[in-house]
Amino acid sequence: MLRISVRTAAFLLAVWLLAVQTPAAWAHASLLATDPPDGAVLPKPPPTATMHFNEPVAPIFFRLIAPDGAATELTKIEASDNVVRLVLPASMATGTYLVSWRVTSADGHPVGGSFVFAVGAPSAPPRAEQAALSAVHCLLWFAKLNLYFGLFVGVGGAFAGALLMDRGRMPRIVERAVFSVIFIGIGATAGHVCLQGLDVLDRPLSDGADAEVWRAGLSGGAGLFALLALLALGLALGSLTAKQGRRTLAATAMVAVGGALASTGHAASAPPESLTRPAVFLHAIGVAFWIGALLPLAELFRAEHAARQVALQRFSRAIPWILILLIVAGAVLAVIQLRALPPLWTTAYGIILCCKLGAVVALLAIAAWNRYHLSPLLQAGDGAAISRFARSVGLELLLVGAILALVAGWRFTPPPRTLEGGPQATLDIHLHGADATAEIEASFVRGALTTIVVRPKKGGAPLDAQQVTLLLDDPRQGLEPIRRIAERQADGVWQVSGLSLPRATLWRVRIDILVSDFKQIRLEGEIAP
Amino acid sequence: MNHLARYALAAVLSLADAGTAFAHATLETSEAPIKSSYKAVMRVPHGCDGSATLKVRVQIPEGFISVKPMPKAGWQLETVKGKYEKTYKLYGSDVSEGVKEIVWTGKLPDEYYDEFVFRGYLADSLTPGTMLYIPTIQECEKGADRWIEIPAEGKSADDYEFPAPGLKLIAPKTEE
Repeated sequence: MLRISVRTAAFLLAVWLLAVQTPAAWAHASLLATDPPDGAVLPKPPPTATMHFNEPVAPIFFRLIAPDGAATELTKIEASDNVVRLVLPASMATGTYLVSWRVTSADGHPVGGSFVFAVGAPSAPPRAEQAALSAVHCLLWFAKLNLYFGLFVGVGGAFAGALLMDRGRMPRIVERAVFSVIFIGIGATAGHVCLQGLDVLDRPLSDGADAEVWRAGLSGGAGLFALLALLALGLALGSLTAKQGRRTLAATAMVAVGGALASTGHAASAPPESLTRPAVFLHAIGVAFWIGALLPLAELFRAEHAARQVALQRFSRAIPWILILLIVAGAVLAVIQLRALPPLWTTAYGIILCCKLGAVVALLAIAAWNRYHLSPLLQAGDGAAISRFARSVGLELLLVGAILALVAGWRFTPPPRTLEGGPQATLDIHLHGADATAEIEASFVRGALTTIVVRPKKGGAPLDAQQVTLLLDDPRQGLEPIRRIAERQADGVWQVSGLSLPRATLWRVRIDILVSDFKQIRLEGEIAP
Repeated sequence: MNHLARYALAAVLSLADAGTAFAHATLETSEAPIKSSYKAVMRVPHGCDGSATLKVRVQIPEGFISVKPMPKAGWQLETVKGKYEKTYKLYGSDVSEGVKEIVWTGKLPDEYYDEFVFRGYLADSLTPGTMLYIPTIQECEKGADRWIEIPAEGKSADDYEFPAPGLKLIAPKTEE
């Protein structure tokens, strides 16, 4: 009954989480730039299209959609370092083309998108098919959650039983619960492989039985993850049923849990891997030990089992070290993933981390209350204390469910370290003049120049100006230059926003800095494509 | 587009540009000898983007000394005095300060043309063959036109959108 309430709560949490997450926030490798740039109009059909990513990627598919809607699968691909080069068809009619792409990033998560370019003259952009991925993602999240339950509550529970109790036999009810959770974990592992394959190939749920889908689900780190998870669950089962060597089997199962979680995912693949993989490994084992011990201890006390004091003693001796290990490893990973403080509340990843930490603090608080307030009462044989203890354990398991649900959600959010260098890019230019200099920061979003920030300087210090005017000129076009008066953002910082100029052309930029009523300094430069 | 078409377009555009040159604030007499008095007639042919001119401010450059503005009916006249960079000798006496800025306040609709006059002496410290620029600001109902761009070496007023009205200095007349 306890399990059902945890599940319901976890499901409700899942619904809330999915509402909170932004749909496009599943890009982990990012596309930095393309050639031809997004939105460019080219006089002749280009022979190739080049895509620059922020990390090496493994191609999944690339589709070229012609102006008439016909889709061609691009098969001639060269991928080297962070660059993917696509060979385009020899003959391309006039109009706007769309390239729809999907690749796997280093953390094993697929990333996709599209960009357009026109040959000759633009036409109505062809629509890229947007497959309904949300069902697959929902189930993938649910499978992950159950997998975590299997690994932490199941394997952890088996280990706790072997470690905390002499002769390693836990009360029957706990053993049966742990068994069930392990079997659920095994089922979830299989489901996870299938759903991961569907996500990678961008296929609907109905393709679940396809062999190609299963192969894709086992490719990359995901296959190793599934293997180690199954190994851990199997060894845990063994430790519950074996007559001898329970502790060895359970300990090996725990190592496999750490290995499974360290084999794939954002945290483990974040550089420097020599630091992050061991950190995830240790964090996972610490979590498994802590969570795994909850159910057995609770049941021992509820049933007033003879061995309960010894078990509690062993747990209390070990847990401070485990907690320190857990917290330090977790902190290291958080710092590496976030890289700064603001992403903690500005990115989905950071918000999930905040919620998780909140739940962990609550869990620690309840555990401390149990330890220092309830256990003396339980030892004294207080009857009311037993029901309160059962309720508090129920609450702890609820929190555990919430934490695991949140952690499973990280699969779908990009860690802040990957958000730098997305489809946005900035270019820094320095303009020199006799009387003054200016630092220009040109920002591009999806290949279009959108914002220019100007910082006039005199001798290194900000130059106070009455007005800053920006003139942008395309020498090839011979048309009227674009003149904009910059807005003062802060002392010495001026901004022109709301532009939408193609990056593909060379822009000559001129800054007129009005220093006093009668004095104006002019600086000239170029924004290269 | 091919070369011919591009040159044709440039030619058309440059003509269009020449048209707007008539909207610049300029001096009627664009050449004057040094070491003699000079009557500057600042012509204001247009308002700013079609709106009426409400204020004309002229900054007197160094070397143009002892300047006196001409009052204009219907307009308020103010001057800002300041120290010159050096002391000049004018008709036997030392002159070290004088008018550095003139401000006429009134209203000149865009459909009308007016001239703002001031007279002074071009000192002998100025070099013949160079340009003397008189930065002028037109403050209008909508915004302001600042004719304050001083052309760089080798460039002329035609290369700029808002060039300061310029005076070509020539050699002094042999008889005083």
